[in-house]
Amino acid sequence: MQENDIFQLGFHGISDALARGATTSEEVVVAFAKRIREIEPKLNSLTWWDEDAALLDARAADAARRNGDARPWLGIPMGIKDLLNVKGQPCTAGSRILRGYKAPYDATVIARLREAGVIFLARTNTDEFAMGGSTETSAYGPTRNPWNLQCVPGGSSGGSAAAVSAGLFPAALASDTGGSIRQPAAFCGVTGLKPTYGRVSRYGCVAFASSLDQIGPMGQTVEDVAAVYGVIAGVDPHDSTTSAHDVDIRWESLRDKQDLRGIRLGLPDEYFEEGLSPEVRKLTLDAVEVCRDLGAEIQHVKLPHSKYGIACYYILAPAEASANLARYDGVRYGFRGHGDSLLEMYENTRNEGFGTEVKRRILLGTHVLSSGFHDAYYRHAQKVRHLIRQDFTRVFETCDALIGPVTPTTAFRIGEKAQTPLQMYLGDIFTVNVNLAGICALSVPCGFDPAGLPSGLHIIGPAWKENRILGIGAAYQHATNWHRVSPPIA
Amino acid sequence: MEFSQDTSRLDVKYIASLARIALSDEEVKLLQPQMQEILSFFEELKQLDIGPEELETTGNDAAVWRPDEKGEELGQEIAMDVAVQNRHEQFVVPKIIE
Repeated sequence: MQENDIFQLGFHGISDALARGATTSEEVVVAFAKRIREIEPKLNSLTWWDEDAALLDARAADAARRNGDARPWLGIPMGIKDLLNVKGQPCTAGSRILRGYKAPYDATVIARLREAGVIFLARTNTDEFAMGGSTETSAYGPTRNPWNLQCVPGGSSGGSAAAVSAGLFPAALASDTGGSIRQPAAFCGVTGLKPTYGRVSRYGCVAFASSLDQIGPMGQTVEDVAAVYGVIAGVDPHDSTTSAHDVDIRWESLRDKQDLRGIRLGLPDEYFEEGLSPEVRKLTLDAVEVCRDLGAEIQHVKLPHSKYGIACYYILAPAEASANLARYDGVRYGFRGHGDSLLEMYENTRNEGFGTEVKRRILLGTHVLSSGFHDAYYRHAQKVRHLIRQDFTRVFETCDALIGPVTPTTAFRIGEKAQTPLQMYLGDIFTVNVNLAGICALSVPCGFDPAGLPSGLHIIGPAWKENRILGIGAAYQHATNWHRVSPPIA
Repeated sequence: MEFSQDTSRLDVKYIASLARIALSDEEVKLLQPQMQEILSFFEELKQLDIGPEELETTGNDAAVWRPDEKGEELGQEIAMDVAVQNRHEQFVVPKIIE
């Protein structure tokens, strides 16, 4: 099989080609590794990769297949966000403070993918500790957007999004605390799923904000994303927040999902107000019309507390981060700064080990939790979070899902928002509320602005209804070809 | 609900000491106005008059229970292996007792 054919196949396509003997896992890994060598220097989307180890795994997979092993995802390479522990591989969270740390165990999602036969080819760049919306805060330097190398790929999972978009592997794992799967997916023209909180185990994922973090997949198509999701979802005794709710994934049926008859889609008025760029508005409304043409009933709905989401999120997430990141003390793992006393060592380790954005958030979190401010900030924000959650509960009484923009604009230029953190935070306006409410959402490519940059359609569903939003996304992708367009770099 | 603070008096150096981060003077100069701007932005939550009756609970499931049984563990040797410095399966840190 020709290399160029392999890159076009996607996760399912490679699985089918392997099953019918049209290619081998070794051929697939060789092709993707070659592509990484060619394209990665332009992107900086990876923090680490090991072609030799992947080739050994590929040969083992081919041998197993010859012996009758028919696991569908056997021998397919993936990229993994550098936030998830893969036994024997480094795991840095894009931070100097984890320099030298090698994962001694597999995260649950990794153990499940390993069981399914997936090969872990590369680790993808991320904003440091997943804190950011541009992948500019990584200690490895910024990742570039394959659609325009002067632009950011979004973040924090910008490495996964850029790499999948450029075809460095057919799918990747990412994580989403305030939009970190959906926003980079939208900026890079790929499909990304943020599952319901509690749907996917966080065991072995470097913690940022534990009540908001959720791991999810990225791929070219809804079907590919659903395939990876089907492997990683489900209850895990290592993570008490995972739910025993039936995962109910029927990705096979997604291939037949041709229309949206009988589906009620809500259009939140607040998502189309001031701040939304005319280009993204137009692309989103065009996508709404596609859904209407597919038979969906479109209704306007209100999410009155939406505008408070950013403030609420940027109180709660840093508060949780300040507690979670207390463990990086120069003792247990990674990097240690100098110091004659224990305190001096702690303070120097954390000063030298953390980048500015992480420090900013730790300080914000420390402040909002400190004596005298806790009630005014943290407890108040927890109550606002409840109101945001209630908004969604109310609209899902009359709607099956919501649709709208993922981001207010398409990808911005590298450095454009780096000096103004609040401006960067405001870009999360359409994504953070989904995390605060603990529900699920999908981003699917829905076209390009006049500059040729992709935009994403946000499909938001109630808790545990991933199958529903994947079905809506699949129907949309059957009617459109935006997800099939490759960036010029590829 | 009052945000009982004057953000112009925000003491970033003191907060950093609580967070065990030795910030340089340059970073204090950079972070002070940025944090003030962000904290001022949080004031918009004041517009919401929320009574004490509003719930704070989150999460999609009720409390989770499991039997109090010992599960698998990583083991001390492996856990210590990732430490910055260890000796005899113990962490090595700067001298604590004078």
